[in-house]
Amino acid sequence: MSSSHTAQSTTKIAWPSSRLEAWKYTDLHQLASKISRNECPLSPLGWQGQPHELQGLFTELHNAEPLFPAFDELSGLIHAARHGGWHAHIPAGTTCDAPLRLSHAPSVTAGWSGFTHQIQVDEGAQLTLIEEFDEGRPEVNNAERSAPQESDNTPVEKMNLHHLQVHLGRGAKLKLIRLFHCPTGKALVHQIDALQEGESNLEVQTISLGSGIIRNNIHIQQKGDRCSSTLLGLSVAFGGGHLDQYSRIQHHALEGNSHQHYKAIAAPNSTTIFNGVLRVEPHAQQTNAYQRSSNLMLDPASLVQGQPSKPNLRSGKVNAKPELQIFADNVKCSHGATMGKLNTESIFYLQSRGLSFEEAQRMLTLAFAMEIVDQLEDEGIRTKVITHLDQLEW
Amino acid sequence: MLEIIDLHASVDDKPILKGLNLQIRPGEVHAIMGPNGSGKSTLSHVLAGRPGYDVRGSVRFNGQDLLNLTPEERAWAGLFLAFQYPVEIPGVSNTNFMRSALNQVRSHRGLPALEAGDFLKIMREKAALVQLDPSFLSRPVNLGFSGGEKKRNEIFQMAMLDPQLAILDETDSGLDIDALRIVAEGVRKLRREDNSFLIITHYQRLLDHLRPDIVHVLMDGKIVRTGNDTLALELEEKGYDWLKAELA
Repeated sequence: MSSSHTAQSTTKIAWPSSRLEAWKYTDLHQLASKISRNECPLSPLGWQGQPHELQGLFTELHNAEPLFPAFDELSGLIHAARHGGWHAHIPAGTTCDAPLRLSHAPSVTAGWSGFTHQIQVDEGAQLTLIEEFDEGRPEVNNAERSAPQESDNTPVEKMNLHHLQVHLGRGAKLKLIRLFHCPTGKALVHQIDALQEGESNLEVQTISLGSGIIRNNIHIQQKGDRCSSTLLGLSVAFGGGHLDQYSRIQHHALEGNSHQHYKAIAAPNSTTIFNGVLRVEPHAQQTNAYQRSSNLMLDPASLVQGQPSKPNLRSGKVNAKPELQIFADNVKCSHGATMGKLNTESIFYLQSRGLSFEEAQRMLTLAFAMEIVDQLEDEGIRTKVITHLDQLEW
Repeated sequence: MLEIIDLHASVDDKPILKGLNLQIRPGEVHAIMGPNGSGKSTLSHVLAGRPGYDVRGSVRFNGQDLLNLTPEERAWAGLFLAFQYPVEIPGVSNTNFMRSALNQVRSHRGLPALEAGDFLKIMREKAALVQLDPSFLSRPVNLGFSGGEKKRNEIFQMAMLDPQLAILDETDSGLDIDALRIVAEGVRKLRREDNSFLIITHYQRLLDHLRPDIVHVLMDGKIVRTGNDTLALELEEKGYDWLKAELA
């Protein structure tokens, strides 16, 4: 970590604001301007007790140069103002059989903290990395949460920013499985910048849960021919949460594949966002790209059942914005975005068998989520997600 | 057990039930027949508590004011509706659904939740009652089931939840002869002195198997004729026109 960075104050950093199309629904400038840079952050990792496989692969990142020039301003900003991070290098031809697990500690101190991480997977090497970002319990008790505030109105006092640079060598394979959990009053911003060489394969599975603010960016540049990128995600916003999933995939080379499927559930007073840009450059002929966004908005029980409503409770809100920019003429690109509410006929059917309205909603909501959860390639993460969903209240 | 007095129901200001009266005692099997659009399905929906109806009148179920209860409270109290069009629910397995439903119903009847082993035993037993292949139990509720399988699943659920009053809304429609016999046989085995059935049907065939005690004719939102099972035979033979003429 360079000491000259620590003097930097937040107000001087040009955080992206909602004037930028990519940040239309989450104004980082507004969010970050209210809090100052944390002067004594924790290490981003629980380094203790890491499995042996990690030794030699992961090192603390200090003055390392970026793996490649920043894709956008934010990654540059986080890198410049970082508190620390890690660097992983998987040498050519290495296959890590067992997945590696990292657990990022919550930022228990005040202010914002920034971390930069790097993964370099050399030619033909393979790695599966499972990461958990858990910002801990909400800082207000449940009684206060019973009528959740909009996140826009809840002061955010703590924010963690993570930037991950990924460079995949020729034929390299990387699978990232990530679970994000962010409670009320906290914000979590994560950005992946991935550069893929020919015939490399990147899979990113992302689960975001929370009543706080989460912004997840995934930028992928397919530089070499016949790359493949598969993105899968589920966002569950509740208790006033604001979860923004942004992806930008840029196809530069021949016969690239990209496949995206994101689902989002917005509980009452909460918001989810899917903002996906797919760009096919003129030389990227025979690209095959697919983008799908399915969204579920939940109504407060009071609204559905015609009971007197709790004050300030509105239905969940979803913003879905697919954006296709295609400059090659021989490509196959498609996208689909759906949004809807739970089927009232299904709710009635379950109720008529003795399930309460809330249980019926929960069961159907879980069923909606399971299409993604079932595809998570890690049992531990899957169990945690299901536990979270089971305890969901709205 | 069930006492309906002067029941009115309308949808978007369009009256469908227009002062219906009906009384069902424990152990009785009632059949309701009637031409299309007479309000048969509306009656079943209103009794089960489906939202979207404007309802007036009085319905007492074992002394409770049924109309004031939510759909799940009606299920807890012992009411069951076998749907005419069972709903497909992707992502929810029949087993999980039934385990949650049965444990809910049991807890409201003062019974402990079932152990996993006991639950599976009961489930297999009840599935056999309607010859429902056990593989269906792990599949999502009604998803990809044929018409006959869906109806069998309804009777299976009924057997699981052991209601005091079961309403069968055109359970026989869409069934082939064998499936009809299986379903009817399943229902017949569930008859006891302390439970009752209200069977909504267009056809005599189901009634051949179930032998109702009382047959009602519903026309234009009211019960216009009540008799024994010979009334059903008469309707099968002559249709409804003679009755309409007689009433006019």
